[in-house]
Amino acid sequence: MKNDKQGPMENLLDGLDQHADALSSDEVKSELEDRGIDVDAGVQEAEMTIAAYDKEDRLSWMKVADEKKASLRVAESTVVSWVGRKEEDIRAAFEAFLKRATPNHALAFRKRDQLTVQDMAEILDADESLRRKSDDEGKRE
Amino acid sequence: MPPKRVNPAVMAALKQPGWKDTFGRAVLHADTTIRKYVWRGFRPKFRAKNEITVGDKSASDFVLEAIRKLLDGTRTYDSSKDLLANLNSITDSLIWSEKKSSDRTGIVDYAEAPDENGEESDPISTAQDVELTASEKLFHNELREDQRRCFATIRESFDGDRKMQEYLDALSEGIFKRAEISEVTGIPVEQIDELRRKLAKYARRFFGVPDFEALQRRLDEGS
Repeated sequence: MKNDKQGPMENLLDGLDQHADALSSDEVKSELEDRGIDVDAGVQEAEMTIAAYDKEDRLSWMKVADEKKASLRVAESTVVSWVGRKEEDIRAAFEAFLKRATPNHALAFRKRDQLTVQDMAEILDADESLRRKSDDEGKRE
Repeated sequence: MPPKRVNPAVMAALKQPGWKDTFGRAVLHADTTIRKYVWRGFRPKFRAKNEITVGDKSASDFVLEAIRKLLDGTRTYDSSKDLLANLNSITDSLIWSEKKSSDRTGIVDYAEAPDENGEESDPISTAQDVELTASEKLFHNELREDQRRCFATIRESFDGDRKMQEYLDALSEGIFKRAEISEVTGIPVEQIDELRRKLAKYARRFFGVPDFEALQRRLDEGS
């Protein structure tokens, strides 16, 4: 396709540029040297820039992972376990848990007659831990 | 809120084994883009070793800036294109913006159009018909005449090399696709790359010359 907007020298430069894909790396380097360009210096600077972004990227995500880990540890450490509490307290809390659960969750515990008090206490602990975790994430967002 | 991540596609492209070669080719493209402005009247500056600049930025500086913009997400990486095409597209618009802000010495611009990222792009590639004022038209014609004289001189220097002259003619007419050049000139496609190599060895005589007189001086010096 002809480009009438450019003069012959502009077109010549454009053509040389488009056909530069035929040149080897050494030929490109040599052509750049002819134009007064030290490509090695540019590559070195680019490598430093890329390495800096790469490092920052990795560090920022390590920080996020550390924060999540720390918040989980806090949530776990402050939960007072239901295991070992009075049986009637556990049963009452479990009934309350089932009442506020979604229909799907309630369905999952339809055979609750087969659950021991220990099972109920552990389910309550897991629920408490999950609620604290999601509250914590909600606050951060 | 989690920190903004570097686009993994950008990082992967910049870590590929051939990326240094891509960097060199991107610099070559950026330098060519700057030199095209010279033939439209832009008066560039030079660093030591004759490295051409726009404002205080060289072709390498523009490519580095393009890399930074891809890394920090200021410019979007188009995954449907390779790294070189992405860098070329960004450097074109960076050079255009820098040229616009650093020089107003009568360059004949055709049009200004924002690209998909809202940044002004090189008008060479987005040219539209624009009515020039009388003085602009005069300046435009002088530049065009200067280009014609330079091209004719370069062409004459290849007297006796018919294939090279036909290759030059095709390029000067804006015919760049190898198959089209072959169709117009009869030169086999596989010989076109050889002509490009041969021309590159000679090209240093006219790369960087801002006008016909400068080209003549270079030719007389035999540099």
